[in-house]
Amino acid sequence: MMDDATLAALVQAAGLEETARRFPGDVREAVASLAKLRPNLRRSSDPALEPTPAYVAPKGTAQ
Amino acid sequence: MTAPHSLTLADASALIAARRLSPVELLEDCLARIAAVEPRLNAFIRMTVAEAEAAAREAEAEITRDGPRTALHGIPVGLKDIIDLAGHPTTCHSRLRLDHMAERDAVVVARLRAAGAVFPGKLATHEFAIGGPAFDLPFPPARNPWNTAHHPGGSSSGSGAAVASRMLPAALGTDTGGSVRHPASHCGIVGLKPTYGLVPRDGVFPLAFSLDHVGPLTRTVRDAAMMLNIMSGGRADFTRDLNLGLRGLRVGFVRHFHETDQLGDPEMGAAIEAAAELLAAEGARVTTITLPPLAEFAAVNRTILVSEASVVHEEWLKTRPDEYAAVTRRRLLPGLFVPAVDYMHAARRRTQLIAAVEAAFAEVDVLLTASSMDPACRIDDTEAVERTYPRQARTPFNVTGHPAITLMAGLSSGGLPLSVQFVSPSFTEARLLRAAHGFERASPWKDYAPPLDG
Repeated sequence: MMDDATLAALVQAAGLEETARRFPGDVREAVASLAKLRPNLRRSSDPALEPTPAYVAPKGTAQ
Repeated sequence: MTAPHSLTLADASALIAARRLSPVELLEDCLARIAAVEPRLNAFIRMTVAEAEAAAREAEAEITRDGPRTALHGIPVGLKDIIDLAGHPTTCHSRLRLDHMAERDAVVVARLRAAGAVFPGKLATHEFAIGGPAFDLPFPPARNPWNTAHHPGGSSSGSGAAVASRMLPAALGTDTGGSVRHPASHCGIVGLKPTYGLVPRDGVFPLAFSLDHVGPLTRTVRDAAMMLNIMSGGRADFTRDLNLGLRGLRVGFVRHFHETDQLGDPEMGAAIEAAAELLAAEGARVTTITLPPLAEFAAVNRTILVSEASVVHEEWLKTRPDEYAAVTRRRLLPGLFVPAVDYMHAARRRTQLIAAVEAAFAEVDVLLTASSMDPACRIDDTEAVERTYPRQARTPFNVTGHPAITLMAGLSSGGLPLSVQFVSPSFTEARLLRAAHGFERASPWKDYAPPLDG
């Protein structure tokens, strides 16, 4: 369970102070839901692994 | 003779081409059907009857004079209300968009219009294609035609309900985490998610840019192929391989999705097993195949989805949060808390997951998997409704972009549809549709209809 100070810092960083004031339960649940998701997100240590969608260079001809 | 509203798209199209059914007659019969069953289903947000009638009259005159332009000429098609129809609001089933007005058709709508399709109305959706069935919105949630106390699936809920109930022969939906295939599963119809990028998204309100797909919901696989012919801009004739049959087709059965990753409902598991046996009996070579676990696909899908959605909804979540349904607000808010590094990890893991599925396709032609883990739950059972979204095997193919199709594979003891899913390599929709059609033809389920008239 996240402490109130940490949650408040995250809310401030996200710019959601007013939303958190009106819907505190929803904001707390949002943060908690991500905590449940993270263990299933495998993190590769391969620095060369490219993301999808790929970052593609624009097509063009040098002038 | 079958009532026009009960005809499949292909049958209606053939009768129109033979001048035995007029587009006006077809539309009017669909409108009568809508008047009869819509009050129980809430599939429509907005009717566009006058325009549809004018389009049907024009179609009738043109077909009488010159013959049909395409196989969709004079066919009524419903539009999920996140897809732009010129001159009408695209509300996204939200009070935040009640004053919106679409200036032009979405590209996919323009293609259907040019093909001669007519548009009788805009269809219910989960709010912004991410909420769940909600009772605190300007429009009520759509209901399941098989049992109106039950969830129709979503987010293309109105599209599923309208097609299954024979109000329309076809409808468009969108699919970011399974939203075409979920209502198809729960409503006992066909839902096709084409390869990512095959159908343009221009004019479709975005949920998550790299996961969004537009797809048709229809009563049969042939109808889905006919819709895709037009929706893809004539990239191919997707009906061409439908009758090749199943003999020799290599089917990879992904059992672990519903046997160990998640424990599917026993009746759903039995239906999927029966489907595998039927495919083998029809001459397919069915082997068990292993992919990465569902939980990994789900984590990648959810991380990317809420992150991409957050850029669309950030301002409203900060300034007008009370105008969302509570369920939508709760689904969207996590996107504003995802660390950038997690988004990038998800995008990189996505590359590996795509490679894993591609490797499977070196061994087999198509995959057979669960779609939903359970039959539709009651729509007023909030906890069961929440469970329905993660208990599925559709999101892997939003992550990978591979084409996937869901269709009916049985009926539960409670009288609700059971389903299976087929998946094929990117841009092999003709093969995917062949497999699905082969299964559909060998099984009895496409002739089952919701008991709305009983």
